[in-house]
Amino acid sequence: MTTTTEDLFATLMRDAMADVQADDALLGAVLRTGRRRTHRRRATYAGGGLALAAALGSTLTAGGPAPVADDLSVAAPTAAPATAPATPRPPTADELEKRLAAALPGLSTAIPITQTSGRVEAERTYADGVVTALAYDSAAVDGAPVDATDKCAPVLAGGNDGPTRCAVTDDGWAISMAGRPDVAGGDPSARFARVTYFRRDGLVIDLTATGSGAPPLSRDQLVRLATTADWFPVS
Amino acid sequence: MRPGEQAEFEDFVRTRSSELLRAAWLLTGDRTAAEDLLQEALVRVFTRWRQVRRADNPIAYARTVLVRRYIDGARRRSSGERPGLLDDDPRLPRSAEPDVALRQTLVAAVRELAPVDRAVVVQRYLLDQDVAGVAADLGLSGQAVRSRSTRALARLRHLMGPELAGALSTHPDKEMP
Repeated sequence: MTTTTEDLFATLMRDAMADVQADDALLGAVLRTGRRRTHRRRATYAGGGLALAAALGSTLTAGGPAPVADDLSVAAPTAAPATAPATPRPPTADELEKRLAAALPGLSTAIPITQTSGRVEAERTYADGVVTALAYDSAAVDGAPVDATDKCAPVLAGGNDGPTRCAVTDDGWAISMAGRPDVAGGDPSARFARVTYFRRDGLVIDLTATGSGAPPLSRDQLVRLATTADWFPVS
Repeated sequence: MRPGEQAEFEDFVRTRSSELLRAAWLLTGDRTAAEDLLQEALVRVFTRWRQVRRADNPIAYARTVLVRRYIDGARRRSSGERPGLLDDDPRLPRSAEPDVALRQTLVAAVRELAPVDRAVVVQRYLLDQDVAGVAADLGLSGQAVRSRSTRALARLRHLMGPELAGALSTHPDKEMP
């Protein structure tokens, strides 16, 4: 084998792969995952914190009993009006950040927002976890509003008491799950809860809470937040 | 991470991720798997960025993480596993675009190599790393890297055959020995 052959292959490889470009969404995904992993490591070292619990205790319980894990009676901070707005739309990045901050006040840190492919995201970190909100219009992103009837049917038929659960409302379907994050190399004590609320008008809000030992919000608290808070402004 | 450090990391990802994705694609043989591998590698870089940015060559660290994660993953997987429809799957149509067709041919040929040989080829010829650097990353001797390079290139020449001859015509200043 000569150097000429090696040079040739090197040139061919570079030519063949030259037009391959990384997606702009990569950076956002790396930052989100990296922050969660860094946070979980810190939380493990520090033994976690109670700041979020205190904040939630003063906010989410307004007008209702004290929150406990999976307590469906937890009140949402900004309930949607009884009459549905005429034309709700996905929030802008700034609007989503403000809504998340209003829903989860306290000793939190706003994370710079990433907006990719029609999806808007915001994060808030706490001493013992991270809460992420993702909003989008499935009609624009997926080509048509998502009908989650088929997703919920087998869950409901199976008793609705497994890792994945579904709640059907007048306005849509809230599919939730909880357990260990499926992230290689993460904190083994990390736990998460997540809900994706597919509204019948096509708008989607996805909330994820991740924390060391336990997520900062329970599954049912997330469901309540997703289905009752005013995530989508009216244009 | 402080704001200045994050800005540096974001700039690093924006300027270097395509280069790393090309390497990951050749290593994994599949764009989706490549993006997953790259994301995992960059997350690792992110979590150690404060130390990495002080090093002389952050991209070298990122390349090393990428290749080692690929090798570790390949060792964990069963030898016959093919996770889904890959870019070189014969069920996929061959592109009529010359550049895309060359990439499909190259990816398919490289996938026929053993994981360590793939890593050697990608590191030496796509990433232009020297023998000593490849040897350090893969835990091999310099001689082992050279012999694997020779063997892998011979195999690629055999696998690429006609496509390689066609590609040669676009490089008239080169000739095969």
